[in-house]
Amino acid sequence: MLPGQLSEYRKLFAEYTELRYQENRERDIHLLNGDVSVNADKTKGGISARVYTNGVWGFAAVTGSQDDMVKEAIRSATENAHFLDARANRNIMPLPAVSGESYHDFSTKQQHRNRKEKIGFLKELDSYIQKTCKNILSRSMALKTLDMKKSFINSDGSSAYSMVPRSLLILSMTSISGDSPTDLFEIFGGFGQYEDNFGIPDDFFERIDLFYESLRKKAEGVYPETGEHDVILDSEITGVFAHEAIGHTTEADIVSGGSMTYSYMGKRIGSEKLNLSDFANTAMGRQCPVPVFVDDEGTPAVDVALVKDGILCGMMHNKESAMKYDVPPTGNARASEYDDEPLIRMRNTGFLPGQDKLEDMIASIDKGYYLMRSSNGQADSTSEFMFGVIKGYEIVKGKLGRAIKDTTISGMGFDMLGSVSMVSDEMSWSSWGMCGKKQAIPVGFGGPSIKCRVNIGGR
Amino acid sequence: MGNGCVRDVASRSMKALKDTGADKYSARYRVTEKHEINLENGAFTLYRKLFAPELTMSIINEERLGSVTVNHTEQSSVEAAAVLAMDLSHSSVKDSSNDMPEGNTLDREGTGLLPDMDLMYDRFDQLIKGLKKEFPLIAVEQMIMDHTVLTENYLNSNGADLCSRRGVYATGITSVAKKGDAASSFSHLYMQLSGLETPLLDMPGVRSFFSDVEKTLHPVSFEGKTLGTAILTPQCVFQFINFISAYLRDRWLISGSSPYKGKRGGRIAPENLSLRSEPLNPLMAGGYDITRDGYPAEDIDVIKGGILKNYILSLYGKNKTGLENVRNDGYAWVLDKGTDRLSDIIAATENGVIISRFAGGHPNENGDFSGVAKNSFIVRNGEVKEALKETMISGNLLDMMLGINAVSVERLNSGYSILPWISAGGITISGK
Repeated sequence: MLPGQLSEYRKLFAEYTELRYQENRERDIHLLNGDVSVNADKTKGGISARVYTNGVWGFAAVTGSQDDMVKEAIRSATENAHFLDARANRNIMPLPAVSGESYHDFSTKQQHRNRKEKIGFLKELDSYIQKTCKNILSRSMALKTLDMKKSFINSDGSSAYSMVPRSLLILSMTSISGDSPTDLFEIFGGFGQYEDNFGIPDDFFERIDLFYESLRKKAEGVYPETGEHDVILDSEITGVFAHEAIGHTTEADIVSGGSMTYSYMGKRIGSEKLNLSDFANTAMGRQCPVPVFVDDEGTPAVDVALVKDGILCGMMHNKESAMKYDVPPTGNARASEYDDEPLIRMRNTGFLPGQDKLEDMIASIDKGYYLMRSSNGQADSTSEFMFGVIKGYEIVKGKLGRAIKDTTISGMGFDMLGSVSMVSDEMSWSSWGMCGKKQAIPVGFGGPSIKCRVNIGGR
Repeated sequence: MGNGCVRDVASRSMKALKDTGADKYSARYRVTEKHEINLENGAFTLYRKLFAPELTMSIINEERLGSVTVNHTEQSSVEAAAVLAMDLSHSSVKDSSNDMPEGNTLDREGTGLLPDMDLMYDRFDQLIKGLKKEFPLIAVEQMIMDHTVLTENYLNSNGADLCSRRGVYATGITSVAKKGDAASSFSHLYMQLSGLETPLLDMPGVRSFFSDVEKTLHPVSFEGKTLGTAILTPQCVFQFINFISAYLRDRWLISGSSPYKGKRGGRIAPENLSLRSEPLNPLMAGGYDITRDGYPAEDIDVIKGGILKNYILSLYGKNKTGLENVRNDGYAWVLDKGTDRLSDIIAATENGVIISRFAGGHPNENGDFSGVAKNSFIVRNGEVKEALKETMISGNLLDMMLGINAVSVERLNSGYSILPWISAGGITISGK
């Protein structure tokens, strides 16, 4: 369903109204020790309407796109808004009128591969692992693809269509070559459909070799020393940090809810080498992992500078928070599924590169750690963060040493930023992130490597 | 929406699946009807209403598996989904472990199937006013209350016909304590309720929850590093039970990497620890009637008197491992109450922490864990002292289970679990 087909319903909009058709198609294939344990296809789609009245929203969703169902969604959303308005009596002024138009279809241009070919691809990788990797207790592969199609109109005249795909291959292995079982995972792919990222086994053999080598070293690795240390966070962990510890605290709804961030606005929170932005769709001339052109409120999506030269300078907004803070909306309102309401969400959040060379950064540390891969992360309103680290190395006298076992790093986000002393001159994006703020939605995050101090949990 | 309506869709789906000529097939039709009110920063913001059907059609043909889920149930969609499921199974590989349950029957309809929106609004409004009066430092960042009716019908070619309808209220509250420039960490409270007879602030544990949030306004860092005792609140016990239960499920056992592999019938905790999954317990508002496999759910012992009684394996997991499966998906956890009062447990703790939330990932294949103690307090010489920040705890989950030294007599029913406080020694606590 395209925006043009939705636009005939504009005449039914009595108040500020949004109408969105969305279809998410997920395809999952899991191999566990070579057996196909999941072979599934899921399509979930429908229409939602959202109506704004005097500071409250009514929302309703239906599965079909037939005429009577679309009308029912609009009627029900309007009724829900009135139910709440009659009780809440907020009497807030109308939302700022902002409109945008866009059409972006990122469907693959390659010939579509069928399920048998995809399973065959995974089986070939599995055979290669069996042949080349020793002392493996278990191996699993999960191929997960998501095609997210959205059509949107609103009463401000916005009209948008997007088809944004993502395809991931999550490879996990457990080694029994050390003194106890050791686990590691790697994620391949990102933006694009299966055909854009996968299909040729030979392209992955070298990556599997590198992954296996990391697992082997980790199996023989050591526990890190508990306490505060000089570390280098590789781009992936920098990206998770950007998202969790700083990004969330600069979402306007979180700020309104009690995040301490607002009190730092306009103040220095770290080294002048630090620049952090939430990019809408393009960063430094290249498309981001989760491109957003017009958000799910119909606002053209713009980049948001969150930290500039170490100064906290911006927040992410939807229309409602923009009105509250008297700034333009930034196009950060996004919904995960057709029956979800848009929330203020990050899109592609990353630190910008600096001028230091990674090898100089490593050489500058006498005793510390190079932390490369995160398994999970959390942060809260105080900017206190924790990340699980599943891949990393000791740094001893300026050189990489032994691999380390799983650990956790933590600290206060703004304290950590204050400790940043070097920023590498390259940047990379992680394209597999899912943010779980009420609804799970794809996000991109990234950055350069940074040198800083964090707490490390040991055994 | 009644059971009759879901039966119509599931029956039509079975006919379409039969027409594919598959060896075995099943149809699961679930309809979620949700009414949800949202409140942000102390003000009502959204009333959201959903009618969300979901139809999953699965096929096993020549031992090959294919599964398709759609949310459109008109005849053409159902027929197309059946054909696609067959296509997927054709493209898969043979696995003799693929199977479907025998032909059980069930027809169960619960209570609380109609939402009272006015009462939902009033309970919410009452809570906000009560918080302002009794807990003036509390700022509610977000509060969501919903009423959900889940109607479900599972049919399979072995003759299974299971139908269930349940209604439940749920509320989730994210709040901080604020005073001047000082703000605490976010705290999360989640409850599932079979009805709204009781004002939310009067629900068990709610006042003490907000009282504790207010006390975390000025936290301190733990000094140094020590081996001490962790007293886990029911909310945190829930997190750690989920860690334990993961080791007892398909993924860890089929891969052979579960640290509890081969431990069924063996001791994994002290005698005073008994854990059950009770989805059918009438006190469990968030229970369930039908398992993911397609069995009528049963309550099971997981740990009894410290002995591991059951793994939480699916039918596929059973066929892969040769171990017994259960008619239970886990969750709906009930831990037997202990013999010590919480105040006595605290009084007996010389050096430790009370942990309300563990911010950390799943323990690794050896059971080692480390993470940050959130919404937590220092316990010194038998007394609760300052709230904590920047404090990490680490240990080994298997050792921690064996090292549980007290289980409280008090338990908290959150609607999705009924759990006590527990105390375990040998936990590393470290500050900056």
